[in-house]
Amino acid sequence: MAETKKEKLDKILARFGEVGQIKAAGIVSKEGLLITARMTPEMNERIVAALCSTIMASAETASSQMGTGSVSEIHVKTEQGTILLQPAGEKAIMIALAESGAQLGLIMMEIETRARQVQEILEEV
Amino acid sequence: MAVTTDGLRKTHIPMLDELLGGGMPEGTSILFTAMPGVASDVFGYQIAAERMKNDGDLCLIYTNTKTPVEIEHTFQRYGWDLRSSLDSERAFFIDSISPMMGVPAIGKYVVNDLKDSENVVKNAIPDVAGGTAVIEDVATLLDTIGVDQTFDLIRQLNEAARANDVNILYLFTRWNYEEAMVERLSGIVDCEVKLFSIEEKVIYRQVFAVAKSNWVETSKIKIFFEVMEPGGVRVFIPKVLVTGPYNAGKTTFTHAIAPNTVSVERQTYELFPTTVGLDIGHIDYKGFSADVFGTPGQERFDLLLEPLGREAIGTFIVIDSTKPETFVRAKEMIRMCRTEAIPKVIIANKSDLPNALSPEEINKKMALWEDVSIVPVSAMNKDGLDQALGTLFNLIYRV
Amino acid sequence: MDELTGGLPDNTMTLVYGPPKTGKSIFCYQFLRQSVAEDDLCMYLMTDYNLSQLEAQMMAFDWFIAEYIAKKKLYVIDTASGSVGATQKEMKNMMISFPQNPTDIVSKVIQELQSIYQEAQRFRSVLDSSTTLFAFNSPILMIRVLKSYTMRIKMAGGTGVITYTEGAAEPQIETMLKATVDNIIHLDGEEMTIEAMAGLKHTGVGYQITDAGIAVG
Repeated sequence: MAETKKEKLDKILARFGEVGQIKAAGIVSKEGLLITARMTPEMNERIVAALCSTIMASAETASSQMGTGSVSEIHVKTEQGTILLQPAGEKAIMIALAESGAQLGLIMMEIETRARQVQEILEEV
Repeated sequence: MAVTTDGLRKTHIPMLDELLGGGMPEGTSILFTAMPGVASDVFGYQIAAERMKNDGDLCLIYTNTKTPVEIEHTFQRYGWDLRSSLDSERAFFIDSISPMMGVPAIGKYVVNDLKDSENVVKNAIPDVAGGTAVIEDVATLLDTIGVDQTFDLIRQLNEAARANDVNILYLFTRWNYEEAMVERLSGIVDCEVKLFSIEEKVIYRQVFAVAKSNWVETSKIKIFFEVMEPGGVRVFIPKVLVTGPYNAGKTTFTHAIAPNTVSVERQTYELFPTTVGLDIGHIDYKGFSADVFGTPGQERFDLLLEPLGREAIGTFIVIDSTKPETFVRAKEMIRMCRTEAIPKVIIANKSDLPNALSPEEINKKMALWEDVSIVPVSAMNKDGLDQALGTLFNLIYRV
Repeated sequence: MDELTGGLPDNTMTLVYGPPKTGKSIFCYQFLRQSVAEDDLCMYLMTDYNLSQLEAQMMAFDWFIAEYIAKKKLYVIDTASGSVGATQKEMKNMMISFPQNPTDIVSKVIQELQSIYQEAQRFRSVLDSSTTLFAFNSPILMIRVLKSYTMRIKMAGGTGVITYTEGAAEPQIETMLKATVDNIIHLDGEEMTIEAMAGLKHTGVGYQITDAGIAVG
């Protein structure tokens, strides 16, 4: 039987997780709904999804107010790692939580590639 | 031509009239004592300008600090027309600063030596019988002609004002004068309004409060204010929160009351967008100026409610009048925003729809723990907004 | 002079006074130049010249402040230009006021201090000169104003200079003025006397006004 969109997205997330030094990853809708995620047990996936959409939307609104165009990526540096957010098409956001000291260069290249794949899948008819 | 309500004449400064019991009795005086850095002139000018425009008052402005040209310019910045009153001779200057500066004096009367101020102004007061006189600035008098002379001057002018039904407004920049002297000064006028600033961390707010009044019992209420150019004195409400269940119409309501609102929202897979961050706007309404913050309604954003609700001093709780099943959620959100203890008004939105419940029915169904006003509104049609705003602002500054 | 005293003590107000034409304004330019060199913010209240004139006057000593101004590190309160309704738009670091309106001057000082306070913990301030302000206002009122000004500057973390022409006001006013500040420097054309300075005894030294500013010794 053909793969469902969800199964395809799960696969992308699985492969993304193989990059190493990624503690958590997810795909959420821009309105804050969880599409699919791989997070640690302590994280409340639903809420993380909602709040990441808040961050992305707030950044986009701020950028619009300042006249700086669309948001291409967001890095939130925290005490214990970096939260990465990247739009995946018009309707979704790709999220990753990288460990402290992770090689962000590689992870960012991966996240960009995966985000594009997610976008293609979501836009499939 | 004085306009009276119960014999009181409005000052047209938002909230000041309420604090004074409606306004000033004819012939009384107010001392505006301002800490350096807080503008007192706008208060004097606003009262004069509004009275000239609305009540047909005659007006005199005595100045020993700003030149008449500067004052006219200041009126313009606030959006008030002094020029036509000057031209039609309904207003005039008593110029006591130009001679000191050695520039040509402008004004119906000129005071060449500050000591003559008392006589000149006293004799000019009958010219504005029934109207308003602004005296700027008492500090210069104190330091030039001395304390005793200044007190004499004020007593004489007050007497002349009483005899001619003139309201006399003294502007006083309170430099580091002795406390005792300033108290005595307060004693020889009918009313004192103090203007000062509050510095909380770096945020700096301006406040006015009625320190004393001979005709009404004073309350301790401090009113935050802003000075707008144009506009003048506006009572400032730092934060008004708009919250309520999902899809009740909070964002629509916020945009309706604060047209320049910015919303952080995203299109959903349904027909309408949902707020994923907040709505933030500013409202200017009948002498009140407020910042408005709207929250999301979807449960997944509930963690945002507490930070968004912090330090709000008034709340609108927007509910969908056609969906009583959401009322419980509304009550829950009131709790989560920590707004139980602050003034609130329930906005019964979508009241134009056929199956909308009435305020009485809503009151019953919501079973609130206190008596809360419920205002029927249609945010989309912009109905009921005036009543909504008026109700909340009056609650916040309940005198 | 800095070698002598270690510079002006941090967070104090200094009065620089003396007969006319003894280099008081030049002292201010030098103080501003130091501000530029150390990249400190500086609030400059001027009464006898405007910003362009200040820039020109400093250029005569080879001190260039155009870049400093462009970086918005200079906060100006211009009470010299004087025309009401001036077309120049007021900005948070460029304000206009009038010498005969001390209430407005202090109001502008407070407004600029709020912006400064958000940017830096320490800054410098110059008031050149109080003489003009004394000419336009009742002397006692001016003393109150300067007390208010000094207090505000220090509260916000500033180190400031006020200039004054000796003899411009009566002796008792001069005494009150000296009591308002922390340090007093007297310039008489040949000798620079430090009449008071935190941590220092009365000291005097010769000085000259040269092409490169005030040279001590």
